[in-house]
Amino acid sequence: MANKASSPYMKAALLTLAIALLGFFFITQLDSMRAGELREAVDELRLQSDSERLLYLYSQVMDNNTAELCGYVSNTEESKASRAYALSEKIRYYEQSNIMNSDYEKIKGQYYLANAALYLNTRAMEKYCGSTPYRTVLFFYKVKEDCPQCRAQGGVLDSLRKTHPEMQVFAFPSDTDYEFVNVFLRRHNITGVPSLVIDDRVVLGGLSDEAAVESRLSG
Amino acid sequence: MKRLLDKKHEYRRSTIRIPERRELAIIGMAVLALCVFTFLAISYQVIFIAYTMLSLFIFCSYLILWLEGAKQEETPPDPESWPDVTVIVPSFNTGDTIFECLDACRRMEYKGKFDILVVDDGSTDGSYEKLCGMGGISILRNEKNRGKAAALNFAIRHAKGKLVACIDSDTYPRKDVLEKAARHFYRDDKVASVVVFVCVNKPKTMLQRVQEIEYWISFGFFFKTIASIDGLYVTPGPTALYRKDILDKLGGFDEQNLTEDMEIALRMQKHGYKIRACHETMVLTEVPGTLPKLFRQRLRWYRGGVMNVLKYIELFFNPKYGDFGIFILPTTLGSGFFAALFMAWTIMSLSRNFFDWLTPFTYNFSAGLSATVAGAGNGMVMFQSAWLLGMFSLAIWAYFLVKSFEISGTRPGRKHILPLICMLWLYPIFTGFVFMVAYIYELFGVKYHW
Repeated sequence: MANKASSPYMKAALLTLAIALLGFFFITQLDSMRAGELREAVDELRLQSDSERLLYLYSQVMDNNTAELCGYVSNTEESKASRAYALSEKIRYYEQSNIMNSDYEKIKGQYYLANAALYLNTRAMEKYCGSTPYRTVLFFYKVKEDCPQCRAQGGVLDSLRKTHPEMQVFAFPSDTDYEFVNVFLRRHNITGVPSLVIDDRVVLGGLSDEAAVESRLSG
Repeated sequence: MKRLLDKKHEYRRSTIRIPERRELAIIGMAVLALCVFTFLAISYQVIFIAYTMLSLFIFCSYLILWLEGAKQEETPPDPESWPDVTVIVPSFNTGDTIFECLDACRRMEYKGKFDILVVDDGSTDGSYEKLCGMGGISILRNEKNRGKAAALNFAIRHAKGKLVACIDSDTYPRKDVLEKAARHFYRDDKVASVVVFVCVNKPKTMLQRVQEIEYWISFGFFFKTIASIDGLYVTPGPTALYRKDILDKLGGFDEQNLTEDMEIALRMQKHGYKIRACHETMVLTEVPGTLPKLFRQRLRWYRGGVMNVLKYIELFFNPKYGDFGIFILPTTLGSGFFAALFMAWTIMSLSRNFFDWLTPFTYNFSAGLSATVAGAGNGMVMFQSAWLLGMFSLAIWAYFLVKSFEISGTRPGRKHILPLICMLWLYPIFTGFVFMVAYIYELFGVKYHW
């Protein structure tokens, strides 16, 4: 009786396998599509940072036209920084949602590199142009373990970005193996998270109050 | 009208040993701890995929079983002689429904003879006195309330028919129930019981509408499929017909059992008897209209389920019992167990997420609010890749649903959309929660209440 009975279950197992294969095929497609979308966004960011660096180089080497370069930087800085910041959230959520794509580590690495380059470009422009209307904020947080304070700090910065478009936030995880992030951490003596570096002033433990961040920005 | 009083009531106790509660609690807690540890150690996606694959396999099995046999099930021919049937209606304080039930019973048409036997199980609502004035029925009376199984056993001892049809006092059979169901006994001498398609009577609340669809699927599609492989594990209380001599041989209903209808079905299966399903007709039954009432009903069902699983554990994965032992029982038990575990894991996960969500608020209210808005916004729009697998299960389930509508003879309409949505997204949360409570109650030996 058991042998006779096993036949429909064998068919069911085969059908399950076929459906699972089909499902995983679609999942692979979906994950690849998302990875492709992220890669494209990161590439755009890198392109922007490369193009800024090139302009800076051109300006220094060829004609030293400060006004043209600083004007260009002033116009693009705001959108560039917000796009980079928004992308970090997107990467995090895509990483949680995908199951078949292993490219995310690579994409993340490229993103943090591009983000670091953008930060450095911005700081270089500040020096080159004398001053810009923008204020840079470095924000260090943890990704490998839960950090509610980091999320709270992120919330404060998110909220402030709406009312302070001049604030440019560059966020980096402190618990990853990216050497350039470690250089930043060492340079600013960051020993705990959340931590902020507003222009060059370090705020260990972050700032829980929007008003406190605002006062540092205007200070 | 005939009245009998039960002075010397004989209880038929189960002789099968149920494991000691303490042993059970230790084993149960160890299994639970292991599962919780596993659930915490493994990511949500892995659990979701494993759960989805398991349910996909079960759904595919039902699909194949349906396509291979269940849908071609034919109506048996008329028997040469129609056996006498005694319709038994147990009643305990059911004055609001029993008269309608008895009206429906008296209107039944049957080519053989049938009589109606009401067992009043110590009612105090005045229904017994009213019943005494009714014609066309016999009445038995228990002085004290002894429970449904005891009332049924009492009536079976007095039944004259070769078949007994046990009908709940809140159930209204169609005219042709006896005629359509009785003929199923004559295809095979081993058929001990025939269960009739149970549907919901005049659903009013949303909860009743959800149960209406649930009954169509469970008692319609699934029962029809399970019956085609002789795998029925319950003879639903609302209406089931039994061969009286087999009931006598088996010792009647277990009076100590919370779900005597499941226990008798498992006992029949254990002794090699068959249970058939009759979908050519239906009975309409009242269902709970509020959540607390439904909770109490389901808690009794699920606790009774656990009790009977332990009582008949030797049937599980036992090839001697064919499809019933190797597929129906393990998957039925597994579904309930996983539903309980999934619910426990979800509650733990939600509590952890709740504290995670709360922490930014303790830091700063506006920060908490911003973190919540940003998190919710990003989380809501993100489609989890693993959900794609769930879509396939959903598609097969939709096929079952269409077939269930066909079996019930109902045309799907707009009025079914909202109950269906509730059934898909809210009802599993409810049943998962009740399963979890049932397991916890059983582990800690919480007293039974009807």
